Amino acid sequence: MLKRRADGWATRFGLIMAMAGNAVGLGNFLRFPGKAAPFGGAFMVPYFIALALVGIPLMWMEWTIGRHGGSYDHGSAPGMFHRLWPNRISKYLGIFGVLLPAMVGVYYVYIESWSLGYAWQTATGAYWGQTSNEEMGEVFTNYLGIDGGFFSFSPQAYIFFLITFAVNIFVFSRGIERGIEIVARYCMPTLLVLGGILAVRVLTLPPVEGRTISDGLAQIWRIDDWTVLLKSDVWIAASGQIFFTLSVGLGMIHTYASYLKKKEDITLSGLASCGTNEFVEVILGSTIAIPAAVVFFGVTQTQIIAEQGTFALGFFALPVIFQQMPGGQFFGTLWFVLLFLAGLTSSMAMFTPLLVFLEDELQLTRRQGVFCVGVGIFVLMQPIILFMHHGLVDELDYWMGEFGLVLFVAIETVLFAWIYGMDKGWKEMHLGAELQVPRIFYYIMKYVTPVFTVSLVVWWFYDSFIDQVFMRGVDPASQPYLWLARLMMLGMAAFLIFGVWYAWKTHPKFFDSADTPEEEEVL
Amino acid sequence: MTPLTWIYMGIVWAAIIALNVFCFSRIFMKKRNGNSSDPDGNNV
Repeated sequence: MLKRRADGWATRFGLIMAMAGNAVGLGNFLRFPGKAAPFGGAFMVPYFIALALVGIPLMWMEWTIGRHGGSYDHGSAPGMFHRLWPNRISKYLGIFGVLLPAMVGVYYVYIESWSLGYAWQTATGAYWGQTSNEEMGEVFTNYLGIDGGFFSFSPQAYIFFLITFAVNIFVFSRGIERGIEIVARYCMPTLLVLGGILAVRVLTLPPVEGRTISDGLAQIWRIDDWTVLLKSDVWIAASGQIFFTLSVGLGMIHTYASYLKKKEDITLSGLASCGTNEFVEVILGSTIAIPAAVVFFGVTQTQIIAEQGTFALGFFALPVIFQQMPGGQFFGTLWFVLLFLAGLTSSMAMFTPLLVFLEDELQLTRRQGVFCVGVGIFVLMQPIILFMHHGLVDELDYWMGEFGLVLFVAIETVLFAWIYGMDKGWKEMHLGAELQVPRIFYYIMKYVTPVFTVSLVVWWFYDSFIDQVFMRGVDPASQPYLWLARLMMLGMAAFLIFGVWYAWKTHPKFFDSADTPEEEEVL
Repeated sequence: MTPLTWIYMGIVWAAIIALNVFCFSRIFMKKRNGNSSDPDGNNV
């Protein structure tokens, strides 16, 4: 107990910046504009409805679950779920809250390192002269070392990966107050300033061949066809984006919130972190990539780029634009530094639940925990890097970042609203609250959020689960590598199942009076 | 961008900025007024 109490948030500003930084990631600048552009301004309607009905309620639930669990010295979801529902399976359901962030982090850190590598390449003008999307696509595959060989490996990409990995390990090994909070307090304001500079630069771009920045903004904001709202895909895309952007359903908010004291506010702080994330995503994120692409490439080409995915926009199109923009080398470097900082503030949270699980439940020291996490994660990252061209990232992303996330969200909402009980949950959420949440959210959290998330799991099973399980449409040559990715996930899950079983057999805190309901009243 | 589209974008931006101003003004005002009254002596 003393070990956890020795660490914690030194300032409220640091807490909010860390929570916002956890949410603000590469997705705010790349995924969001890529998802919004195909639907135009109509996308914002389901986006904000999903934010109000699912995103913000979920965020408050996770802060509450985290702080509640933290009062019992649990910093990760297995223990937190056990305290919400003292049933023998609840702690095993909580494993998702450790497994998902760790396995997402396994590939996220490598992607984050590309931003650092591209910041360097842009600053040194390494790819200058490659002025088409196709040429930049080749630069990208060369950077990753994808050249038709058995491995995808390039020394340059690997060096930047090692630097990024070392920075992440260094930050989270220093704990909350001396590591994560310090980085968040400096990186988030820096990120906001960089984002603001880039947004102003894009908004003041001169017309190119008659295309203005107004045309670019219209790609995100103009509503040409309201009937698009009758299609399910825009609702799925918008609610999926809300999950991603708020980083809910991954177990990281729980761990950060576990360091709060029992009566520290969570309603206002949670809303502030959410507001910061929306500022970065909707105001900055919608102003940079797509409007700039429309000005330089036109609407049709921009839509093609957006449909090619997140990386095509960030790593192919924008470097081409920067080469044509006055001061482009400077602004291009700022762009990739911005992406790196956005990635870092998210990734440093991803391994924290695993580290805290090892410390709190398996009673490892900080040094032992950092060593285990560092070595284990580093080993798991190697197949991701070396077999990148076989789609390991997509496989991990589907199971951990999409399906697993939705499943975990459904589990935790049902657990919180229906099993723990919304009356107790509402009361718990308002302990020390500086913002009285409107009563309507009680009913939203009790009925709308759980029903919506459970429905999403059912839809996911119906829509793509079977195809994904049996790898339909996957190149047979890549299938063994996807099985490798599955083994990695199952291996980590098996370790966590064993860890939970062992912890509950051996840790003294599960045999003392803290396990009784009376203790809850005292706390 | 049509005038209506500018208004639409302006309303969304204003709402997000207002949310941030609301939250952070309350937090910083509380911090300024509430540090001495915190029984835990905790500045969070």
